[in-house]
Amino acid sequence: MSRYAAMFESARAERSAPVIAWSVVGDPTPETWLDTVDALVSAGAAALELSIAFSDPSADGPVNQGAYSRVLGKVDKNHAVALIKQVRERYPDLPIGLMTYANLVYIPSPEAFYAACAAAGVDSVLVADVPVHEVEIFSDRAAAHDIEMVLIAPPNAQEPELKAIAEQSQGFVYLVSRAGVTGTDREAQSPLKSVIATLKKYGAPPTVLGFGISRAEHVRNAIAAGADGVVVGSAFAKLVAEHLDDPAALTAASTGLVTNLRSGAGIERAAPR
Amino acid sequence: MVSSHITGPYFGEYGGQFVPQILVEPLRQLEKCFVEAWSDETFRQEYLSLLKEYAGRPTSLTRVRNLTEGTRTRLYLKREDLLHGGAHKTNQVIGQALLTKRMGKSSIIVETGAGQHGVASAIAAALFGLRCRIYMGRIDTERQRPNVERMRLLGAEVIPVDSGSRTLKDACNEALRDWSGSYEDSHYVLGTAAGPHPFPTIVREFQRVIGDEARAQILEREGRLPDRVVACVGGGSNAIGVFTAFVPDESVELVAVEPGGLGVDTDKHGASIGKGEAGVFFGMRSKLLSDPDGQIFESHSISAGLDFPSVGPELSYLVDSGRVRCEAATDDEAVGAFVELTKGEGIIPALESSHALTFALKEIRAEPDREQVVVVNLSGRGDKDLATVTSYLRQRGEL
Ligand SMILES: Cc1ncc(COP(=O)(O)O)c(C=O)c1O
Repeated sequence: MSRYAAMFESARAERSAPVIAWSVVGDPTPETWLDTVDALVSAGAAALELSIAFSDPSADGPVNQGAYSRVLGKVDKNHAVALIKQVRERYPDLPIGLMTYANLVYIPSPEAFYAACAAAGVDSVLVADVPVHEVEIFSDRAAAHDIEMVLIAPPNAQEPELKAIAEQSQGFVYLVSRAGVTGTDREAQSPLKSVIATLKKYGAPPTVLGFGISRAEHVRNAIAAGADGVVVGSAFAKLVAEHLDDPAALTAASTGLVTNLRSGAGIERAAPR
Repeated sequence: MVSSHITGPYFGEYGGQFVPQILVEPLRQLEKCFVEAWSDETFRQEYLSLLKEYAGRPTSLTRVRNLTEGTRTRLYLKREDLLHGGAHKTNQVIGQALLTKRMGKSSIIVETGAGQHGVASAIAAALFGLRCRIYMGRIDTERQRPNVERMRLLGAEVIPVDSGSRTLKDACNEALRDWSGSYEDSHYVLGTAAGPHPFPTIVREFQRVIGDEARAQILEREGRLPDRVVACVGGGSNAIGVFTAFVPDESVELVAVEPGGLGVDTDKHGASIGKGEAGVFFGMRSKLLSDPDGQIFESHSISAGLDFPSVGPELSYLVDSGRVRCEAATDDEAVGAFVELTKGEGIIPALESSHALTFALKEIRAEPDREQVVVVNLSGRGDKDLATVTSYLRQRGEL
């Protein structure tokens, strides 16, 4: 069973939904980042979604751009992969996904990128600027290295896209409930039940809602609308920015964030499946 | 393939739609609107009559009188500097503004480097009653100040961009970010023949009027095709605009001139075709400059409009296939050509266009005895560059 499948199964057994924690590898420094990862995981983050800093993150809002620029020029790709490998060694069963931009995969070659991911123990890769009808650019290399390909389902996708996303997304589908880039200034909205229904109709893997999740209420609403989990991203990046000089306060705040979000992740009654 | 594209999204291996999934739907809406409009005679008539009555087409083809002295070359300038707004940008902005209206959208989003595309867009927004948000790198707002003032006077909102290199590429990112949240009521008027499909095709179709006119004009004047057509390249719109009509004419050499900055062998240039490799950026697969990790290179050029680390997919393809020759001109050479045309012919060219002129003059003078006809696309006028050029000349003690 894949690590994601196991994660969703054990969450279901515990009547809760997984809270996945996103961060930029090495933010704000490699040492502090490793400590915050420990804090996030101890507080109950069920998986990690990690980004390697990119110079031109056009799908990200100012908070995440800030995280990238703290790291750019300090942690290069090889270093980031080495850090991910360290996390993998610490947490052999934790699902680890990468969320990245196409040029980091393309250069020097997709083969090199997916091989490095596999060697570091990465489970999935989501490429923010590759929509479902362009996945062929990377899909054969991902498959060759057993890396799952996660796709995004936005609120404006039409049925043919949702069908393709349902059929091709692996591990989970990353649901986005609102227009715009990452950031908490636009709060997450309840995902469209119709989007989830269409994805399920075409046999999609579990759905995870991201973009704008910062409070327990967002998690509760997401689950009520039928999402199987959530990703918290910029709410965490914001904490890093607020605690740059105080790593201890950052780890405490990270714990607090995940604990708070998990308090909204309980499933009252096991949903009929 | 899920999307049934109406026009081809690829030029050889280049092109495509490398955008977040959320932008696929607005791009499809745009493609559908364009394809329908372009085969609608009423739309075409409206577009063409605006180009004529409002923007001042056809633009002249001017024979250079003095700069070619001592050679047997007849050099012509396609005078896009005379177009309303001061550059070729107006051709395609009018087209996209009409598409915006046709889609029922009330606002436009714009990225600009030199500010020429921003000015053209602010003009069209004023004309058509559209709200207009223009993203411009902080550095560009400083080096192209007169255009910022123009845009603001025309009623547009100019938003300086402080991320990354604070130039054109960062303005492009910001425009995409805005659009991914505002597509319901906003159209992104992308400023060059680049970006995700269908922009490279739409912009080419709205810009090909340059070459269509130039080809007819030169045939009338010379009774034959030119030996060479030269254009500068930022994202590629004026180049593809002047080249398209000549692509089937195999005897005509097409030359794309990139910004050589401080030299293409330094790390301060924007020669994305000559020095770049295939990559994925700004919604397309095309040639681009990036470091060994895939981080996008911060390009350099004295001309803000050429200061971009990538190029439209069709030009990448035309260079690979051997149809278009790619060259570069340095900052220094471009300033030289700027001064020469200004003093020699009484025409103040944009620094962008001065790159094309540099290369044309160099080749012409290298072969003074060759009898030939050369066309340079003078993509814009240089008023916006006066401060840059004066301070450059002062630093060199030439003023
Ligand atoms: C006068 C002029 N020429 C050329 C360019 C470069 O753009 P493109 O390559 O799309 O023609 C610009 C861009 O701002 C410009 O203002």
